[in-house]
Amino acid sequence: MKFISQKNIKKLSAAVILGLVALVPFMMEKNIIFRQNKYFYVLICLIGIYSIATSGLDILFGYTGQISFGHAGFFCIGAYGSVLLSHKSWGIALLGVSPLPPIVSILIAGLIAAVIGALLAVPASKLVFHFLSLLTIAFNQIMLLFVANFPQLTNGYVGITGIPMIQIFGIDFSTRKSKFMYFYLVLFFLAVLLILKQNLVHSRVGRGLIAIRENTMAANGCGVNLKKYKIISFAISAFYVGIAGALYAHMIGFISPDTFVQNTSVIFITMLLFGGSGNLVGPVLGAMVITFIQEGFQALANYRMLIYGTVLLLLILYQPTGIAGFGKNISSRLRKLGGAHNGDARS
Amino acid sequence: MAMLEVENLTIDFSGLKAVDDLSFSIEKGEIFGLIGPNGAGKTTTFNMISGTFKPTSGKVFLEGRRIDGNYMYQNNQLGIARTYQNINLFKNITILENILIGQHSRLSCGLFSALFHPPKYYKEEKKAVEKARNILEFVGLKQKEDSIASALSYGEQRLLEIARALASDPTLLLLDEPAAGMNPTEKESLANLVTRIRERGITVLLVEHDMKFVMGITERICVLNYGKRIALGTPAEVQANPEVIEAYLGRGD
Repeated sequence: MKFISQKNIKKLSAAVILGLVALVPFMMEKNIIFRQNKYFYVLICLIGIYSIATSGLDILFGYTGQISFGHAGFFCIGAYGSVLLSHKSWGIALLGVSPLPPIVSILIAGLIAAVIGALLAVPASKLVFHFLSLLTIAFNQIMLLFVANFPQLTNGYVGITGIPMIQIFGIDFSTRKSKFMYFYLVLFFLAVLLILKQNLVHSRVGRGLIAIRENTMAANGCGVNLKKYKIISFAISAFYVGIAGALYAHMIGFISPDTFVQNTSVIFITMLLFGGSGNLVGPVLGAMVITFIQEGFQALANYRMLIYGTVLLLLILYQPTGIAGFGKNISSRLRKLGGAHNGDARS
Repeated sequence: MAMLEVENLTIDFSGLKAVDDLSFSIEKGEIFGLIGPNGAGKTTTFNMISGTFKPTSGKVFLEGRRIDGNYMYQNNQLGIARTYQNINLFKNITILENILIGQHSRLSCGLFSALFHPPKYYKEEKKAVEKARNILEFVGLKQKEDSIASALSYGEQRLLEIARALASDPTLLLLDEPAAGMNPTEKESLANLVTRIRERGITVLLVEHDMKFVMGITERICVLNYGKRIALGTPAEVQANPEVIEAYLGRGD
Protein backbone atom coordinates (compact mmCIF):
# COMPACT_ATOMS: atom_id res chain seq x y z
CA MET A 1 0.00 0.00 0.00
CA LYS A 2 2.84 2.35 -0.80
CA PHE A 3 1.09 4.34 -3.49
CA ILE A 4 -0.51 6.67 -0.98
CA SER A 5 2.20 8.11 1.20
CA GLN A 6 1.41 9.16 4.74
CA LYS A 7 2.14 12.75 3.83
CA ASN A 8 -0.47 12.70 1.10
CA ILE A 9 -3.04 11.12 3.38
CA LYS A 10 -2.50 13.94 5.83
CA LYS A 11 -2.87 16.57 3.13
CA LEU A 12 -5.96 14.89 1.75
CA SER A 13 -7.66 14.58 5.11
CA ALA A 14 -6.86 18.22 5.87
CA ALA A 15 -8.55 19.22 2.60
CA VAL A 16 -11.57 17.04 3.36
CA ILE A 17 -11.96 18.50 6.85
CA LEU A 18 -11.63 22.01 5.46
CA GLY A 19 -14.30 21.24 2.86
CA LEU A 20 -16.68 19.87 5.48
CA VAL A 21 -16.15 22.87 7.71
CA ALA A 22 -16.79 25.17 4.77
CA LEU A 23 -20.12 23.40 4.27
CA VAL A 24 -21.35 24.20 7.78
CA PRO A 25 -22.88 27.61 6.98
CA PHE A 26 -24.42 26.19 3.83
CA MET A 27 -26.08 23.39 5.78
CA MET A 28 -27.31 25.91 8.29
CA GLU A 29 -28.77 27.97 5.50
CA LYS A 30 -30.60 24.91 4.21
CA ASN A 31 -31.92 24.15 7.69
CA ILE A 32 -30.02 20.87 7.88
CA ILE A 33 -28.30 21.81 11.13
CA PHE A 34 -28.92 24.52 13.70
CA ARG A 35 -31.83 26.01 11.74
CA GLN A 36 -30.31 29.35 10.78
CA ASN A 37 -29.58 30.15 14.35
CA LYS A 38 -27.85 33.50 13.93
CA TYR A 39 -26.08 33.15 17.24
CA PHE A 40 -24.48 29.99 15.98
CA TYR A 41 -22.86 31.88 13.11
CA VAL A 42 -21.18 34.13 15.62
CA LEU A 43 -20.14 31.08 17.59
CA ILE A 44 -18.42 29.33 14.69
CA CYS A 45 -16.69 32.58 13.75
CA LEU A 46 -15.49 32.89 17.34
CA ILE A 47 -14.17 29.34 17.24
CA GLY A 48 -12.20 30.18 14.10
CA ILE A 49 -10.82 33.34 15.67
CA TYR A 50 -9.85 31.59 18.90
CA SER A 51 -8.28 28.82 16.84
CA ILE A 52 -6.01 31.38 15.20
CA ALA A 53 -5.11 32.92 18.56
CA THR A 54 -4.49 29.57 20.23
CA SER A 55 -2.41 28.34 17.28
CA GLY A 56 -0.30 31.46 17.67
CA LEU A 57 0.15 30.81 21.37
CA ASP A 58 1.08 27.23 20.48
CA ILE A 59 4.07 28.44 18.45
CA LEU A 60 5.39 30.13 21.58
CA PHE A 61 4.32 27.63 24.21
CA GLY A 62 3.93 24.30 22.43
CA TYR A 63 6.96 24.60 20.17
CA THR A 64 9.33 27.00 21.88
CA GLY A 65 8.40 26.08 25.45
CA GLN A 66 7.94 29.68 26.57
CA ILE A 67 4.85 30.38 28.65
CA SER A 68 2.77 33.51 28.20
CA PHE A 69 -0.09 34.60 30.44
CA GLY A 70 -0.37 37.85 28.54
CA HIS A 71 -1.49 36.99 25.03
CA ALA A 72 -4.73 38.93 25.50
CA GLY A 73 -2.36 41.90 25.29
CA PHE A 74 -1.59 41.00 21.66
CA PHE A 75 -5.26 40.29 21.04
CA CYS A 76 -5.85 43.82 22.32
CA ILE A 77 -3.17 45.31 20.06
CA GLY A 78 -4.66 43.54 17.05
CA ALA A 79 -8.21 44.65 17.84
CA TYR A 80 -7.48 48.26 18.75
CA GLY A 81 -4.78 48.52 16.10
CA SER A 82 -7.08 47.52 13.29
CA VAL A 83 -10.02 49.55 14.58
CA LEU A 84 -7.98 52.72 15.09
CA LEU A 85 -6.56 52.37 11.58
CA SER A 86 -9.90 51.80 9.88
CA HIS A 87 -12.51 53.67 11.94
CA LYS A 88 -13.96 56.80 10.40
CA SER A 89 -14.20 58.80 13.62
CA TRP A 90 -11.54 57.33 15.92
CA GLY A 91 -7.80 56.72 15.72
CA ILE A 92 -6.03 57.98 12.63
CA ALA A 93 -9.24 59.70 11.52
CA LEU A 94 -8.73 62.06 14.48
CA LEU A 95 -5.33 62.94 13.05
CA GLY A 96 -6.88 63.87 9.75
CA VAL A 97 -5.62 60.75 7.96
CA SER A 98 -8.24 58.96 5.92
CA PRO A 99 -9.04 55.52 7.41
CA LEU A 100 -7.70 52.37 5.75
CA PRO A 101 -9.88 49.57 4.42
CA PRO A 102 -10.30 46.96 7.22
CA ILE A 103 -8.65 44.14 5.28
CA VAL A 104 -5.45 46.22 5.13
CA SER A 105 -5.73 47.40 8.72
CA ILE A 106 -6.09 43.82 9.95
CA LEU A 107 -2.75 42.89 8.40
CA ILE A 108 -1.06 46.04 9.66
CA ALA A 109 -2.46 45.39 13.15
CA GLY A 110 -1.00 41.89 13.02
CA LEU A 111 2.38 43.35 12.07
CA ILE A 112 2.19 45.91 14.88
CA ALA A 113 1.48 43.07 17.32
CA ALA A 114 4.48 41.19 15.90
CA VAL A 115 6.78 44.18 16.40
CA ILE A 116 5.59 44.68 19.97
CA GLY A 117 5.95 40.93 20.52
CA ALA A 118 9.54 41.14 19.33
CA LEU A 119 10.21 44.07 21.65
CA LEU A 120 8.66 42.20 24.58
CA ALA A 121 10.84 39.22 23.75
CA VAL A 122 14.03 41.22 24.34
CA PRO A 123 13.58 41.20 28.12
CA ALA A 124 11.48 38.02 28.04
CA SER A 125 14.24 36.00 26.35
CA LYS A 126 16.28 36.22 29.54
CA LEU A 127 13.51 34.87 31.75
CA VAL A 128 12.13 31.40 32.40
CA PHE A 129 9.15 29.83 34.15
CA HIS A 130 7.38 32.00 36.73
CA PHE A 131 9.46 35.08 35.98
CA LEU A 132 8.35 34.88 32.38
CA SER A 133 4.75 34.37 33.51
CA LEU A 134 4.94 37.50 35.63
CA LEU A 135 6.45 39.54 32.83
CA THR A 136 3.73 38.49 30.40
CA ILE A 137 0.99 39.17 32.98
CA ALA A 138 2.46 42.63 33.47
CA PHE A 139 2.47 43.13 29.70
CA ASN A 140 -1.23 42.24 29.54
CA GLN A 141 -1.97 44.77 32.28
CA ILE A 142 0.08 47.47 30.57
CA MET A 143 -1.84 47.04 27.30
CA LEU A 144 -5.13 47.06 29.17
CA LEU A 145 -4.31 50.19 31.15
CA PHE A 146 -2.98 51.83 28.02
CA VAL A 147 -6.21 51.48 26.05
CA ALA A 148 -8.33 52.20 29.11
CA ASN A 149 -6.52 55.40 29.99
CA PHE A 150 -6.27 57.02 26.59
CA PRO A 151 -9.88 58.13 26.13
CA GLN A 152 -8.86 60.72 23.53
CA LEU A 153 -7.67 57.91 21.32
CA THR A 154 -9.64 54.85 22.41
CA ASN A 155 -12.75 56.22 24.16
CA GLY A 156 -11.54 54.54 27.37
CA TYR A 157 -13.81 52.10 29.16
CA VAL A 158 -16.80 53.24 27.12
CA GLY A 159 -15.36 51.40 24.16
CA ILE A 160 -15.63 51.98 20.43
CA THR A 161 -18.72 51.21 18.37
CA GLY A 162 -19.37 51.55 14.66
CA ILE A 163 -16.35 49.47 13.70
CA PRO A 164 -16.30 49.22 9.89
CA MET A 165 -17.24 45.91 8.32
CA ILE A 166 -14.92 44.22 5.92
CA GLN A 167 -15.40 44.67 2.20
CA ILE A 168 -13.23 43.04 -0.41
CA PHE A 169 -13.88 43.84 -4.08
CA GLY A 170 -17.31 45.11 -3.15
CA ILE A 171 -18.27 41.88 -1.42
CA ASP A 172 -19.63 42.53 2.04
CA PHE A 173 -18.22 40.28 4.77
CA SER A 174 -20.37 41.55 7.60
CA THR A 175 -22.14 39.26 10.03
CA ARG A 176 -25.13 41.53 9.87
CA LYS A 177 -25.92 41.46 6.18
CA SER A 178 -24.91 38.14 4.67
CA LYS A 179 -24.66 35.82 7.59
CA PHE A 180 -21.93 33.41 6.75
CA MET A 181 -19.50 35.39 4.63
CA TYR A 182 -17.51 36.40 7.68
CA PHE A 183 -17.08 32.77 8.60
CA TYR A 184 -15.44 32.12 5.22
CA LEU A 185 -13.12 35.05 5.79
CA VAL A 186 -12.09 33.66 9.20
CA LEU A 187 -11.73 30.21 7.69
CA PHE A 188 -9.47 31.61 5.00
CA PHE A 189 -7.21 33.30 7.55
CA LEU A 190 -7.21 30.17 9.70
CA ALA A 191 -6.28 27.90 6.78
CA VAL A 192 -3.45 30.16 5.60
CA LEU A 193 -2.07 30.65 9.10
CA LEU A 194 -2.23 26.93 9.88
CA ILE A 195 -0.36 26.11 6.67
CA LEU A 196 2.30 28.68 7.55
CA LYS A 197 2.54 27.23 11.04
CA GLN A 198 2.94 23.73 9.68
CA ASN A 199 5.61 24.94 7.28
CA LEU A 200 7.43 26.78 10.03
CA VAL A 201 7.68 23.87 12.43
CA HIS A 202 8.97 21.59 9.68
CA SER A 203 11.91 23.80 8.84
CA ARG A 204 15.30 24.70 10.22
CA VAL A 205 13.77 27.67 12.03
CA GLY A 206 11.01 25.57 13.59
CA ARG A 207 13.53 22.95 14.65
CA GLY A 208 15.51 25.72 16.33
CA LEU A 209 12.39 26.59 18.33
CA ILE A 210 11.78 22.94 19.22
CA ALA A 211 15.42 22.65 20.30
CA ILE A 212 14.90 25.53 22.75
CA ARG A 213 11.84 23.78 24.15
CA GLU A 214 13.61 20.46 24.49
CA ASN A 215 16.92 21.59 25.94
CA THR A 216 18.04 25.20 26.00
CA MET A 217 21.66 24.39 26.76
CA ALA A 218 21.97 21.87 23.95
CA ALA A 219 20.18 24.23 21.55
CA ASN A 220 22.82 26.85 22.24
CA GLY A 221 25.55 24.26 21.68
CA CYS A 222 23.98 23.31 18.35
CA GLY A 223 24.30 26.87 17.08
CA VAL A 224 20.80 28.12 17.87
CA ASN A 225 20.96 31.79 18.83
CA LEU A 226 18.58 31.62 21.79
CA LYS A 227 17.72 35.29 21.96
CA LYS A 228 17.08 35.60 18.22
CA TYR A 229 14.88 32.51 18.09
CA LYS A 230 12.87 33.50 21.14
CA ILE A 231 12.31 36.90 19.51
CA ILE A 232 11.18 35.20 16.28
CA SER A 233 8.83 32.95 18.24
CA PHE A 234 7.31 35.82 20.23
CA ALA A 235 6.87 37.91 17.08
CA ILE A 236 5.16 35.19 15.03
CA SER A 237 3.00 34.18 17.96
CA ALA A 238 1.97 37.81 18.49
CA PHE A 239 1.21 38.18 14.78
CA TYR A 240 -1.28 35.31 14.91
CA VAL A 241 -2.97 36.62 18.04
CA GLY A 242 -3.01 40.15 16.64
CA ILE A 243 -4.76 38.99 13.48
CA ALA A 244 -7.25 37.08 15.64
CA GLY A 245 -7.90 40.20 17.72
CA ALA A 246 -8.49 42.29 14.61
CA LEU A 247 -10.90 39.72 13.14
CA TYR A 248 -12.69 39.66 16.47
CA ALA A 249 -13.13 43.43 16.53
CA HIS A 250 -14.50 43.62 13.00
CA MET A 251 -16.90 40.78 13.65
CA ILE A 252 -18.37 41.95 16.96
CA GLY A 253 -18.42 45.58 15.85
CA PHE A 254 -17.66 46.85 19.34
CA ILE A 255 -14.55 46.76 21.49
CA SER A 256 -13.82 47.90 25.01
CA PRO A 257 -10.94 47.13 27.38
CA ASP A 258 -13.06 44.53 29.20
CA THR A 259 -12.51 42.02 26.41
CA PHE A 260 -8.76 41.99 26.93
CA VAL A 261 -8.50 41.32 30.64
CA GLN A 262 -6.14 38.76 32.14
CA ASN A 263 -8.89 36.17 32.07
CA THR A 264 -8.82 36.13 28.27
CA SER A 265 -5.13 35.20 28.35
CA VAL A 266 -5.94 32.37 30.72
CA ILE A 267 -8.69 31.17 28.38
CA PHE A 268 -6.15 31.00 25.51
CA ILE A 269 -3.86 28.88 27.66
CA THR A 270 -6.81 26.71 28.72
CA MET A 271 -7.78 26.12 25.09
CA LEU A 272 -4.22 25.18 24.24
CA LEU A 273 -3.77 22.76 27.12
CA PHE A 274 -7.22 21.34 26.55
CA GLY A 275 -6.70 20.68 22.87
CA GLY A 276 -3.07 19.69 23.17
CA SER A 277 -0.01 21.82 22.51
CA GLY A 278 2.79 21.32 20.02
CA ASN A 279 0.66 20.15 17.10
CA LEU A 280 -1.61 21.46 14.37
CA VAL A 281 -5.10 20.28 15.38
CA GLY A 282 -4.79 20.56 19.16
CA PRO A 283 -5.31 24.33 19.38
CA VAL A 284 -8.29 24.16 17.00
CA LEU A 285 -9.93 21.36 18.99
CA GLY A 286 -9.27 23.21 22.23
CA ALA A 287 -10.77 26.43 20.88
CA MET A 288 -13.82 24.50 19.74
CA VAL A 289 -14.47 22.62 22.96
CA ILE A 290 -13.79 25.50 25.32
CA THR A 291 -15.95 27.89 23.29
CA PHE A 292 -18.82 25.41 23.39
CA ILE A 293 -18.37 24.81 27.11
CA GLN A 294 -18.29 28.53 27.76
CA GLU A 295 -21.33 29.29 25.67
CA GLY A 296 -23.27 26.12 26.35
CA PHE A 297 -23.09 26.50 30.10
CA GLN A 298 -23.87 30.20 30.03
CA ALA A 299 -26.92 29.52 32.20
CA LEU A 300 -24.65 28.31 34.98
CA ALA A 301 -23.02 31.74 35.14
CA ASN A 302 -19.76 31.57 37.08
CA TYR A 303 -20.23 27.94 38.02
CA ARG A 304 -19.16 26.99 34.52
CA MET A 305 -15.63 28.01 35.54
CA LEU A 306 -15.94 25.25 38.11
CA ILE A 307 -16.84 22.76 35.39
CA TYR A 308 -14.04 23.53 33.08
CA GLY A 309 -11.62 23.92 35.94
CA THR A 310 -12.45 20.37 36.94
CA VAL A 311 -12.32 19.03 33.41
CA LEU A 312 -8.98 20.77 32.81
CA LEU A 313 -7.53 19.33 35.99
CA LEU A 314 -8.61 15.83 35.05
CA LEU A 315 -7.22 16.28 31.58
CA ILE A 316 -3.83 17.49 32.83
CA LEU A 317 -3.66 14.61 35.26
CA TYR A 318 -4.77 11.83 32.95
CA GLN A 319 -4.28 13.13 29.43
CA PRO A 320 -1.51 15.74 29.55
CA THR A 321 -1.23 15.81 25.77
CA GLY A 322 -4.78 17.13 25.46
CA ILE A 323 -7.56 15.95 23.19
CA ALA A 324 -5.22 15.82 20.20
CA GLY A 325 -2.91 13.50 22.14
CA PHE A 326 -5.88 11.29 22.93
CA GLY A 327 -6.65 10.98 19.21
CA LYS A 328 -2.99 10.30 18.45
CA ASN A 329 -2.87 7.52 21.04
CA ILE A 330 -5.85 5.82 19.45
CA SER A 331 -4.51 6.19 15.91
CA SER A 332 -1.06 4.87 16.87
CA ARG A 333 -2.69 1.90 18.55
CA LEU A 334 -4.76 1.26 15.45
CA ARG A 335 -1.64 1.54 13.32
CA LYS A 336 0.14 -0.93 15.56
CA LEU A 337 -2.72 -3.36 15.12
CA GLY A 338 -2.64 -2.82 11.37
CA GLY A 339 1.16 -3.03 11.37
CA ALA A 340 1.12 -6.38 13.17
CA HIS A 341 -1.39 -7.59 10.64
CA ASN A 342 0.82 -6.63 7.72
CA GLY A 343 3.76 -8.29 9.36
CA ASP A 344 5.51 -4.95 9.77
CA ALA A 345 8.37 -5.81 12.06
CA ARG A 346 9.63 -2.31 12.64
CA SER A 347 9.75 -1.65 16.34
CA MET B 1 48.93 27.25 13.01
CA ALA B 2 47.57 25.41 16.01
CA MET B 3 43.95 24.29 15.90
CA LEU B 4 43.26 25.57 19.39
CA GLU B 5 45.42 27.76 21.54
CA VAL B 6 44.69 28.41 25.18
CA GLU B 7 46.71 31.23 26.70
CA ASN B 8 46.92 32.01 30.42
CA LEU B 9 43.31 31.02 30.91
CA THR B 10 41.97 31.90 34.36
CA ILE B 11 38.50 31.83 35.84
CA ASP B 12 37.68 33.15 39.26
CA PHE B 13 34.46 31.98 40.90
CA SER B 14 34.27 34.74 43.53
CA GLY B 15 37.60 33.97 45.12
CA LEU B 16 38.05 30.38 43.99
CA LYS B 17 40.34 30.07 41.01
CA ALA B 18 38.89 26.98 39.34
CA VAL B 19 41.34 27.33 36.47
CA ASP B 20 44.55 29.23 37.04
CA ASP B 21 46.86 30.51 34.32
CA LEU B 22 46.39 27.50 32.06
CA SER B 23 48.09 27.34 28.66
CA PHE B 24 48.27 24.61 26.07
CA SER B 25 47.75 24.23 22.36
CA ILE B 26 46.26 21.51 20.22
CA GLU B 27 47.57 20.71 16.76
CA LYS B 28 45.35 20.07 13.77
CA GLY B 29 44.22 16.45 13.56
CA GLU B 30 45.31 15.59 17.07
CA ILE B 31 43.42 13.65 19.74
CA PHE B 32 44.19 15.61 22.85
CA GLY B 33 43.27 14.58 26.39
CA LEU B 34 42.53 16.80 29.34
CA ILE B 35 42.69 14.85 32.58
CA GLY B 36 43.02 15.40 36.30
CA PRO B 37 41.53 14.34 39.60
CA ASN B 38 38.01 15.39 40.63
CA GLY B 39 37.61 19.14 40.84
CA ALA B 40 40.79 19.83 38.90
CA GLY B 41 39.00 22.22 36.53
CA LYS B 42 38.73 20.02 33.45
CA THR B 43 35.08 20.64 32.70
CA THR B 44 35.44 24.32 33.59
CA THR B 45 38.23 24.63 31.02
CA PHE B 46 36.09 22.76 28.56
CA ASN B 47 33.20 25.13 29.20
CA MET B 48 35.38 28.18 28.66
CA ILE B 49 36.55 26.83 25.32
CA SER B 50 33.06 25.93 24.14
CA GLY B 51 31.57 29.22 25.35
CA THR B 52 29.45 28.27 28.36
CA PHE B 53 31.67 30.29 30.72
CA LYS B 54 33.46 33.52 30.08
CA PRO B 55 37.03 33.40 31.40
CA THR B 56 38.10 36.04 33.95
CA SER B 57 41.34 36.51 32.03
CA GLY B 58 43.34 34.80 29.33
CA LYS B 59 42.66 34.10 25.70
CA VAL B 60 41.43 31.26 23.53
CA PHE B 61 42.18 31.09 19.81
CA LEU B 62 40.57 28.79 17.26
CA GLU B 63 42.82 28.64 14.20
CA GLY B 64 44.18 32.06 15.11
CA ARG B 65 40.79 33.64 15.66
CA ARG B 66 40.06 34.81 19.18
CA ILE B 67 36.97 33.08 20.59
CA ASP B 68 36.97 33.52 24.37
CA GLY B 69 33.82 35.24 25.60
CA ASN B 70 31.83 34.06 22.58
CA TYR B 71 28.47 32.42 23.10
CA MET B 72 28.25 28.69 22.51
CA TYR B 73 26.14 29.15 19.39
CA GLN B 74 28.78 31.45 17.86
CA ASN B 75 31.51 28.92 18.53
CA ASN B 76 29.38 26.23 16.97
CA GLN B 77 29.09 28.33 13.83
CA LEU B 78 32.89 28.76 13.85
CA GLY B 79 33.39 24.99 13.97
CA ILE B 80 33.39 23.86 17.58
CA ALA B 81 30.94 21.12 18.51
CA ARG B 82 30.60 19.55 21.91
CA THR B 83 28.97 16.85 23.97
CA TYR B 84 27.96 17.06 27.60
CA GLN B 85 28.98 15.25 30.74
CA ASN B 86 25.33 14.89 31.76
CA ILE B 87 23.65 13.95 28.52
CA ASN B 88 21.72 16.87 27.00
CA LEU B 89 19.65 15.44 24.18
CA PHE B 90 16.42 16.72 22.66
CA LYS B 91 14.56 13.95 24.41
CA ASN B 92 11.04 14.00 23.03
CA ILE B 93 11.82 14.11 19.33
CA THR B 94 13.23 11.52 17.00
CA ILE B 95 16.87 10.72 16.53
CA LEU B 96 16.81 11.96 12.97
CA GLU B 97 15.37 15.28 14.16
CA ASN B 98 18.11 15.52 16.78
CA ILE B 99 20.70 15.26 14.03
CA LEU B 100 18.85 17.78 11.86
CA ILE B 101 18.99 20.28 14.73
CA GLY B 102 22.68 19.46 14.99
CA GLN B 103 23.06 20.77 11.42
CA HIS B 104 21.52 24.11 12.38
CA SER B 105 24.70 26.13 11.83
CA ARG B 106 25.29 24.61 8.39
CA LEU B 107 21.81 25.09 6.92
CA SER B 108 20.73 28.38 5.43
CA CYS B 109 16.92 28.31 5.58
CA GLY B 110 15.73 31.65 6.96
CA LEU B 111 12.34 32.81 8.16
CA PHE B 112 10.96 33.37 4.67
CA SER B 113 11.96 29.90 3.47
CA ALA B 114 10.65 28.41 6.70
CA LEU B 115 7.21 29.94 6.22
CA PHE B 116 6.76 29.61 2.46
CA HIS B 117 8.82 26.54 1.53
CA PRO B 118 10.24 27.65 -1.84
CA PRO B 119 11.93 24.96 -4.00
CA LYS B 120 15.33 25.61 -2.42
CA TYR B 121 13.83 24.61 0.96
CA TYR B 122 13.02 21.11 -0.34
CA LYS B 123 16.46 20.79 -1.88
CA GLU B 124 18.19 21.71 1.37
CA GLU B 125 15.94 19.50 3.53
CA LYS B 126 16.55 16.51 1.30
CA LYS B 127 20.28 16.99 1.52
CA ALA B 128 20.09 17.51 5.28
CA VAL B 129 18.15 14.28 5.82
CA GLU B 130 20.60 12.39 3.63
CA LYS B 131 23.52 13.78 5.58
CA ALA B 132 21.80 12.96 8.89
CA ARG B 133 21.37 9.34 7.78
CA ASN B 134 25.05 9.15 6.80
CA ILE B 135 26.08 10.38 10.21
CA LEU B 136 23.76 7.92 11.95
CA GLU B 137 25.27 5.16 9.89
CA PHE B 138 28.75 6.38 10.83
CA VAL B 139 28.07 6.09 14.57
CA GLY B 140 25.94 2.97 14.19
CA LEU B 141 22.45 4.26 14.98
CA LYS B 142 21.01 3.95 11.47
CA GLN B 143 18.23 1.51 12.33
CA LYS B 144 16.96 3.74 15.11
CA GLU B 145 16.39 6.97 13.20
CA ASP B 146 12.66 7.05 13.93
CA SER B 147 12.76 6.26 17.62
CA ILE B 148 12.42 8.95 20.26
CA ALA B 149 15.75 9.98 21.76
CA SER B 150 14.77 9.16 25.33
CA ALA B 151 14.02 5.58 24.28
CA LEU B 152 17.70 4.90 23.56
CA SER B 153 19.96 3.08 25.97
CA TYR B 154 22.49 5.11 27.91
CA GLY B 155 25.38 4.15 25.65
CA GLU B 156 23.33 4.91 22.54
CA GLN B 157 22.39 8.31 23.95
CA ARG B 158 26.08 9.10 24.29
CA LEU B 159 26.59 8.05 20.66
CA LEU B 160 23.70 10.23 19.59
CA GLU B 161 25.29 13.21 21.32
CA ILE B 162 28.46 12.62 19.35
CA ALA B 163 26.46 12.18 16.15
CA ARG B 164 24.60 15.42 16.78
CA ALA B 165 27.91 17.20 17.37
CA LEU B 166 29.32 15.78 14.12
CA ALA B 167 26.27 17.06 12.25
CA SER B 168 27.59 20.61 12.49
CA ASP B 169 30.74 19.68 10.51
CA PRO B 170 33.06 20.71 13.33
CA THR B 171 36.78 21.29 12.91
CA LEU B 172 37.21 20.80 16.64
CA LEU B 173 35.14 18.27 18.58
CA LEU B 174 34.97 18.57 22.37
CA LEU B 175 33.99 15.40 24.17
CA ASP B 176 33.14 15.71 27.87
CA GLU B 177 33.61 12.32 29.54
CA PRO B 178 32.24 10.35 26.60
CA ALA B 179 33.02 6.99 28.20
CA ALA B 180 31.28 7.71 31.49
CA GLY B 181 28.87 4.96 32.41
CA MET B 182 29.82 2.72 29.48
CA ASN B 183 30.69 -0.95 29.76
CA PRO B 184 34.05 -2.24 28.43
CA THR B 185 32.63 -3.30 25.05
CA GLU B 186 30.97 0.05 24.54
CA LYS B 187 34.18 1.80 25.55
CA GLU B 188 36.12 -0.15 22.98
CA SER B 189 33.75 0.77 20.16
CA LEU B 190 33.78 4.36 21.39
CA ALA B 191 37.59 4.43 21.19
CA ASN B 192 37.27 3.08 17.69
CA LEU B 193 34.70 5.75 16.82
CA VAL B 194 36.91 8.56 18.14
CA THR B 195 39.78 7.30 15.99
CA ARG B 196 37.50 7.20 12.95
CA ILE B 197 36.34 10.73 13.69
CA ARG B 198 39.95 11.89 13.64
CA GLU B 199 40.43 10.12 10.33
CA ARG B 200 37.77 12.47 8.98
CA GLY B 201 40.16 15.32 9.74
CA ILE B 202 38.43 16.45 12.91
CA THR B 203 40.56 17.47 15.87
CA VAL B 204 39.35 16.00 19.15
CA LEU B 205 39.68 17.38 22.66
CA LEU B 206 38.72 14.84 25.26
CA VAL B 207 37.99 15.29 28.95
CA GLU B 208 37.98 11.90 30.60
CA HIS B 209 38.18 10.11 33.90
CA ASP B 210 38.90 6.67 32.55
CA MET B 211 42.72 6.47 32.43
CA LYS B 212 42.90 3.37 30.31
CA PHE B 213 40.60 4.91 27.73
CA VAL B 214 42.56 8.18 27.58
CA MET B 215 45.98 6.57 27.48
CA GLY B 216 44.84 4.29 24.69
CA ILE B 217 43.65 6.84 22.18
CA THR B 218 45.20 10.24 22.81
CA GLU B 219 48.42 11.54 21.33
CA ARG B 220 49.07 14.14 23.97
CA ILE B 221 47.63 14.79 27.39
CA CYS B 222 47.42 17.83 29.61
CA VAL B 223 47.08 17.05 33.32
CA LEU B 224 45.36 19.52 35.63
CA ASN B 225 45.34 19.67 39.39
CA TYR B 226 43.68 22.42 41.42
CA GLY B 227 43.18 24.41 38.24
CA LYS B 228 46.87 24.39 37.31
CA ARG B 229 48.72 22.49 34.61
CA ILE B 230 51.04 19.95 36.20
CA ALA B 231 52.10 18.01 33.13
CA LEU B 232 51.84 18.02 29.35
CA GLY B 233 53.09 15.36 26.99
CA THR B 234 52.53 11.96 25.45
CA PRO B 235 50.67 9.36 27.51
CA ALA B 236 53.94 7.62 28.35
CA GLU B 237 55.60 10.84 29.50
CA VAL B 238 52.63 11.82 31.58
CA GLN B 239 52.37 8.43 33.22
CA ALA B 240 56.01 8.61 34.26
CA ASN B 241 55.69 12.12 35.67
CA PRO B 242 56.10 12.01 39.48
CA GLU B 243 53.83 15.03 39.99
CA VAL B 244 51.02 13.29 38.14
CA ILE B 245 51.45 10.13 40.15
CA GLU B 246 51.35 12.20 43.31
CA ALA B 247 48.18 14.03 42.25
CA TYR B 248 46.39 10.79 41.51
CA LEU B 249 47.76 8.48 44.17
CA GLY B 250 48.95 10.80 46.89
CA ARG B 251 52.46 11.30 48.28
CA GLY B 252 54.28 8.14 49.21
CA ASP B 253 55.77 9.12 52.57
